Amino acid sequence: MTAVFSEVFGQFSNYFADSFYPLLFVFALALIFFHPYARKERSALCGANLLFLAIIFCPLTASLILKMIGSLVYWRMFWLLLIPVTVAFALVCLITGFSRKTIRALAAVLSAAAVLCSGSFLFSGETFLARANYFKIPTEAIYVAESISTHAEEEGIENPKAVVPIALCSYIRQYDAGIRLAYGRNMVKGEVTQTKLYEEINSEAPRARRLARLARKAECSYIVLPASLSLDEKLAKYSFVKIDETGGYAIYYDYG
Amino acid sequence: MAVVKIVLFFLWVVVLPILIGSFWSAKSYRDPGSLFLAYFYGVFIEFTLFEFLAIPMVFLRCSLRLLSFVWMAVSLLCAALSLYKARSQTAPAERPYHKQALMKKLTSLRKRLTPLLGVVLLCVSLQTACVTFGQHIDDDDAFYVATAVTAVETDTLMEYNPYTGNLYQNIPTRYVLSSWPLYLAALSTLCAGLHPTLIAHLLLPGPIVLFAYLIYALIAGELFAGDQHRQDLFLLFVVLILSFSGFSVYSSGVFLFTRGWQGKALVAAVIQPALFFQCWRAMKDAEGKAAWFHLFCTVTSACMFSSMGVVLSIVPVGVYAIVYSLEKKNWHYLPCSLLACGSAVACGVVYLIL
Repeated sequence: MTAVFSEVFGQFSNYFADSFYPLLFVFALALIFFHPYARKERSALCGANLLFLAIIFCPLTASLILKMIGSLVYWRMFWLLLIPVTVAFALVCLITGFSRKTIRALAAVLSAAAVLCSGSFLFSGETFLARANYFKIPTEAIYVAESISTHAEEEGIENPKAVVPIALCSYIRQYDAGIRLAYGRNMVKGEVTQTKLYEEINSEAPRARRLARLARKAECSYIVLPASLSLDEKLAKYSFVKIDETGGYAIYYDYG
Repeated sequence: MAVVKIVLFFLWVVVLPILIGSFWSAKSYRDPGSLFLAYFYGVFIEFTLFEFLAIPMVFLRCSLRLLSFVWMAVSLLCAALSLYKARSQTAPAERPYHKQALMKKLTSLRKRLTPLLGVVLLCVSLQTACVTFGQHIDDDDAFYVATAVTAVETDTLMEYNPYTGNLYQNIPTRYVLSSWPLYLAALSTLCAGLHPTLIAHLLLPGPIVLFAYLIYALIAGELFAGDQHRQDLFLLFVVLILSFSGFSVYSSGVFLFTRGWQGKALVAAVIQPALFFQCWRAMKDAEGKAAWFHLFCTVTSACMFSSMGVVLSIVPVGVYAIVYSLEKKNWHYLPCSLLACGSAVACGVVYLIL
């Protein structure tokens, strides 16, 4: 029981991090509970939120839900707390509860300041970058996918298969699902060849011979590597010839 | 051609839901003919139709084209039926699309446009512009968006692993009942081949942010009925709270603004306030049987968005049912809520079996 509670509390701490939103939320619940204007909404906002909190933190219900959804995503239960609706409603009740206009204005400014200080601004440069392209995926992935599909079309290859570094593997198929990949983002329980290939291509210095052998074993016609590795000659020895260099990546095709 | 695709996207995502929801909005006793309400109801009915068509088609291994065109036909039929019923059963002023009613609403909106509402609209517009023109890369798209692109490429429904493009050895049990990625793929098919990644990353995030605020506006209308100043103030605080919810990567605000095109983000940022609103309408306002039907559609949409939608719809509906039953001493809310959660309960059972 203690383990369940500490698990839930740990997820609560991760969810709210160092923000004061939980305090603001508790303040809002108390305000709605005692405010005379909020009588009609008391059950919907106070009662429901308190019941949500009880379900989330009660070891019995928590362990049941943890069993159903798993501990990795239990933090999503905090989405149930209607923080925007509850806090906004309470603050509006607080502000409009004052009869004098100056006090109302002061309460509005203080309430807004409380919200601003409790959270952290989302629309910062760290969260949103300038759009690199309309697809909003790394441009180099688009260049590599274009290069492979153009070459495959010229060679008459249907559904070409490629092995690419981990930095590209999440994006290639978002642009062109006609290209198959040797491994995906979920490289957890891959086959032996898949795992070896993953480890080789993502190592600091991939060995050309081993890479070519594993790629061929995994039926990959294309190998994509960072151009800075300069493996052109070594890979050519094993019939993987460079067909293009784009977006910082070199693309090799198996002519063997 | 690009313009045609965007016009088609606008028709499917904005116009059709309004037409589908117009009859239900006209029937609402509180605010008949509300365009917002028509859109709100229409969107969830559209999603419900899609989920009910997609799930059997996935198991029957039908093609994406078949799913898209059957869904298109059913949606158009629903829209036509809704228009017909609205025309035959309601007064012109109660129809959301009626010219006179629209003009009247525009005039009242102009009168309503206070400086406070102006600030809210400005902030929401800036947020919408930010999610549309800004870029936030999320690696989970390697599954969600790639599933849509794979469905379009192969003309199949969840038969191929989106990570690699290989045929699935087993059914992806965790995702098979959540057809949201297939909805993106179907939109792509119906928008003359508009790339699913463009739909997900460029075209959808803006409308989803606006839709979330539309729900908050509807909630404001319920909480502060007839008091426009307090409604505007409420919306301003909602904007502030969501804008400052960047305290962790898990908050519903972060999910809404940075990955609104993913099903789980919709469960966090759209479904939760929508369930609050629908339960309020069904249990507090006693809008009649229609409100329970709309609650059912919202719950089904939650299941369509994500497997987490099962738990995150049953729990809130159950909690609201208990709270309102205790408040009103009216216990028939409990069986009604159970019926409204029927699709989520069924999905839950199937997940447990699979």
